[in-house]
Amino acid sequence: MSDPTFEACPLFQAPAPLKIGDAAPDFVARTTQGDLTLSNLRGHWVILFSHPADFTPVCTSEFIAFAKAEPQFRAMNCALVGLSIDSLPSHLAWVDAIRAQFGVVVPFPVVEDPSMVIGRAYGMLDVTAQSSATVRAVYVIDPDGIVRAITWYPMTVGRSVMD
Amino acid sequence: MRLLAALQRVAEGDVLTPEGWMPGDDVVSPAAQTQDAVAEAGPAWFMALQQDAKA
Repeated sequence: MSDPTFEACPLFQAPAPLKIGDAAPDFVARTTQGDLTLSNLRGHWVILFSHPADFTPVCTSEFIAFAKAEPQFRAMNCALVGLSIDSLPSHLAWVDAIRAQFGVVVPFPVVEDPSMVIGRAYGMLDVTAQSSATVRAVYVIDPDGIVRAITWYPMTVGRSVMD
Repeated sequence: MRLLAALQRVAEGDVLTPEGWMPGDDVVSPAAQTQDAVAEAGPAWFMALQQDAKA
């Protein structure tokens, strides 16, 4: 069976960074909640956020905050989608560890992107990058699939969910 | 201003700032890098909040 990650949109061939107003590249990928096709979320706002790595302290603090705030996002017709270059088994182990250690269930899907196909399609990565260690990006996508806001943070500083 | 304060705190070294950090809040140490460090830190080795010594 083919890895659905590799069915990401062909824009990865020309990874120019996305701009506000661009169409969000569609993708099909494995997540902690099964396969996800981004375009199936049309009609909802989507916050697609990437993190540098599973099992790291700043990312864990962000995931706990996003998880606790998920009902508020849902009430605003907004779906949360996490993403990193880590593998699905790593994601599963991490979200389970967050549940076990902090009592927080991560209620949104976390996309695996080990080939960095999605990250490159969104311009999350420098085309010459050998790792994704600098990625902490947020893409706010409207119900028509258009990117309406983009933020980038360094790996050393946590974002604010309330932002 | 929150982001600027967080960047300045991290620039002072040794700690990272968690989600939503504000001056005076707890900080986190960088992730453990060895098996021994993980064993010493315990099950929550991947995120341990600590009082900010510079708060």
